[in-house]
Amino acid sequence: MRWLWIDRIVDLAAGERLRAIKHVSLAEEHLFVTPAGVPVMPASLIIEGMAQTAGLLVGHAGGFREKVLLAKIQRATLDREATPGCTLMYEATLTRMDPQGASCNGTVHLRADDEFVPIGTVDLLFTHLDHARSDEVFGNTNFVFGESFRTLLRLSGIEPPEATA
Amino acid sequence: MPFAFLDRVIESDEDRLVAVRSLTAGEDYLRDHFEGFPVMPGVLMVETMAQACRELLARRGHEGWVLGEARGVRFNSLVRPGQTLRVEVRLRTMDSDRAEFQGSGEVLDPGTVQGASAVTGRLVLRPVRLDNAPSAEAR
Repeated sequence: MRWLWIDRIVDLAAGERLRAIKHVSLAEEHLFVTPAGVPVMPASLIIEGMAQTAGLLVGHAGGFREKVLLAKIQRATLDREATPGCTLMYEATLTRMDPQGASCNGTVHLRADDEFVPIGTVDLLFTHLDHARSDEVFGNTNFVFGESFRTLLRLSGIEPPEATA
Repeated sequence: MPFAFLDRVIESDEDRLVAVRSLTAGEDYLRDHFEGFPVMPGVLMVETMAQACRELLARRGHEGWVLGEARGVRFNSLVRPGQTLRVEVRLRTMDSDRAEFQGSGEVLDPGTVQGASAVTGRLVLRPVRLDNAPSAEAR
């Protein structure tokens, strides 16, 4: 299991909003099989999908200079399960950004047939690691936005940060 | 890799369950989270607490409930390979379609039984809701 929970960025309004999609496939090994035998995507990973969507929005707004780390789930509510064959869409909106970190509100949509319908909200708080833990040295490499994210950004037509390793 | 985040249940009673999950350097996702700086993703601390809640509910006869809400979940410490996350969940309220828990986790170094807070927050589990499964026509 790799750690990339969005498949494609579908649009970006820099510093404001980012939308991304994630397909749910029966081939994925993280699915939770309910007692009725139906595989569903764990809610924790849907929250992570929103965290990656919002984290990219925050990282992009800061030129990918900051190590953007999830610090708090203010509130996440998910009303329906995502099953194989569905597509999730994450829409993150930046509500605050300063040297210490950022806040984002997010809406999760699910497409089972033709239309996306909202199934929940995820509001998150991020910290900029080098500011939050200034007594620790994390180095110059921005390990948060690694090769997987750079590939995702390239495939989505967005200029990725340069590798700093 | 099975999506299983309880290595062992340490204690449990009617309303409380304590379990541990150790982080090993060989877990695939640590290659991405993060490259050259492997730490347990915060949402997997949430998943560990949620699985502890699910286990407690299963012991009370409610099988297969899932995480529906998370509130005020704070990530306080990093969990690194070789360390263990010890989670404790307490059932606060429960009715037919909602179980609310207070959860916490601490990070333990090898050979220790107490450590720093890694995560705290409230979780709500509920029965599975499948209203949005693709219809036969769409397939």
